[in-house]
Amino acid sequence: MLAILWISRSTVALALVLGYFGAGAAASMRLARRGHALGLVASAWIAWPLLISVLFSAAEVRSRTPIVGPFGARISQGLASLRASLAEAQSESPLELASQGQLASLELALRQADDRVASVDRLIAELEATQPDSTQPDASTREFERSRQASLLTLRSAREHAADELEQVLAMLLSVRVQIGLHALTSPATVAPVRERLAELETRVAALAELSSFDAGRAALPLEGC
Amino acid sequence: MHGPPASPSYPPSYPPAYAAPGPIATPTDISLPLRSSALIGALAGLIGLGSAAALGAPDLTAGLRLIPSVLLVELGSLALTTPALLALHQFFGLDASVEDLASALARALVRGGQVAAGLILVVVGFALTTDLAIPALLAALLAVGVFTSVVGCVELAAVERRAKSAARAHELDDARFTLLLIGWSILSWAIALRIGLHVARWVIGS
Amino acid sequence: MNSHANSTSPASVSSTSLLALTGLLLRSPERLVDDHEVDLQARLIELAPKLLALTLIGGAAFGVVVGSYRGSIQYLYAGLKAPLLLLLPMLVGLPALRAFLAACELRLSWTRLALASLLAVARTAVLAAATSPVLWLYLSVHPDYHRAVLAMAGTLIVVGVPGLWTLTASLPAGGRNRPLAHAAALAVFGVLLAQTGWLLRPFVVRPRAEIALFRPIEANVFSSLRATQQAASGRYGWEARGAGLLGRDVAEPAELPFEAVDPQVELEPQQQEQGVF
Repeated sequence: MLAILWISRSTVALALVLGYFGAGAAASMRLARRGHALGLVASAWIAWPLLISVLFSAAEVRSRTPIVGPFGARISQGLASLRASLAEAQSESPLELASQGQLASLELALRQADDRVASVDRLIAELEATQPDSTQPDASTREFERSRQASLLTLRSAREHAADELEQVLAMLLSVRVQIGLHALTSPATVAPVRERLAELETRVAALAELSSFDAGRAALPLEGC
Repeated sequence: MHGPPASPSYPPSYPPAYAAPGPIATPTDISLPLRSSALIGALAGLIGLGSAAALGAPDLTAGLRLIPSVLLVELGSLALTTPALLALHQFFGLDASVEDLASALARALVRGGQVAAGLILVVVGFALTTDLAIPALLAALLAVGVFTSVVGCVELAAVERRAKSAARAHELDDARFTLLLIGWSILSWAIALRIGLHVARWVIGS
Repeated sequence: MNSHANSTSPASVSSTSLLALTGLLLRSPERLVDDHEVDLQARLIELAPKLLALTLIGGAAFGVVVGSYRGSIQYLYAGLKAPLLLLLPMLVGLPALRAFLAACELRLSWTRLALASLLAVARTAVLAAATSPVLWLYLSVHPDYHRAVLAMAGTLIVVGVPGLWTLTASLPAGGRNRPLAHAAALAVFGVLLAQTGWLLRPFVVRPRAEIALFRPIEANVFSSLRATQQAASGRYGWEARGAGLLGRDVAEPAELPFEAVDPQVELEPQQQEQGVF
């Protein structure tokens, strides 16, 4: 009985300590996923209660390198119009159509998709700039050129697919804005369709991250053959 | 057909997602209606403080009885003194309405509950690591009482001031109101102490 | 003067080194939260790691000096625990401070409070490190155990006052009856600091006593202070028992009555150790 009580007391103490640092670890992971600096992520492990406002603030797009790709301006424009439409509708109706968290997640996913397209563009540009030595048209050079062309084909196809998906999502943004306009004109009964469209948009945007058409393993770079 | 740009350019930033944050510190406004969530939060804070002390109780029965103890003392003293305050206030012909007075006292209860919630961690710390859970609870209850009294007096004075018209700005009224506040404060402390003694006996089980 | 004013602009803070931040912290820390142009959350994100680093470094330096009284591995133990001594009371007491201020009609964001408290703790740690050489000098002459403990406590009080002042100065103006909130907060933080010091003991270890990272959870700082006072007047016999949910023993030892003990009789090291810190 004494042993059980002793074990339970130290278990409670251990559970409290582990619980605190476990919460700290979860906080660190959340901050890391949001792209915060290593110092803040490490600080969260010890002092996460002080960073609660940062942990639960609306997700901001943070990155060490800028992630504005070819669709950056259109994404900014589309989201700004969406926010304006939502703000207008909100002023006329007490019901919240979309939370700030939803909009922040939407922006984050769109920016990341744009960044992926930009990365592929950079890769394509590098490959196009890589020309084989035409003064020595031997078998290895021909093989290199074949491989380079094949990679370029794959990359361009993947880029097309990703860009098409992003275009469709941007077009959906427009249709959501129309739906919001209808809601503002009609009645609160149209809240459900607006929320459904937003949820559909979120699903579509989430699918952007899972595009399997661009598979870096399949697109073997010509240099790997050397 | 969307081809890659010839030379991709990456401007260093794009517009931030949200506008700048609002005010950092906001004073209370007696004209704002009291939300039920604030009241529920206050009651939860009072129960939470009792629960924190219950962690350091010597036995299970005392622990269970400690949970509602703070709520009983705080609510009991307010509930027993509010009718007297309202009745005397109206009897003296003072200016504020009964509803405003009641909401002022409700705000005092909310602040007391918030203070109780803020002190939960401190009492938990003492309950887990010392035998001073009950003294810590008593000290916390004292703090809750002080803040409830002070906020109550401030809020009651604010509603009275707001209701007072220029034509009735008599010194006699101010003196009666001041006496009323002092009397209410003394009575609520006396009743809180009496209820506290009863609750303490009940918790101990005698 | 202009360079000091410019040094708290948002751009300069983000690129500020740790040493430069230390200077800002010692000179005018409240200006780091009073810049109306800055987004406080962005500033918290920027400064939190640096302020925590300063707390750890300053606290550790202070702890190492305190551990020098005993030497050996106590350097490491005290160096590890001293930053916790500064951080834990603040983490536990902050909700109470926020509640006190809210009751005094000063509602402020958790972001601002967190930033203000980090500034306060970092400033305290830096000041504690700055006073360490003086403390080390005193401890190096091996004063009496109780005097050594008093020196440590006295140093913490001396450096804690500017820290608490930083906390209150970093809060926005406004509110009613603020002295009440400040007085209540001072009482809460003071008690928490004392009890945290007791919980994390030992810091100052007698030269012949056994070194441990932590002692068992027993008694509390108030009873130990009372026992120390009684020991000073020749009344020995206090025995610390397990306390609280985490420290309570099932079978508790009988409490010895206080009685006058012949001071010529040498007490066991364990009984001697049942003093403060």
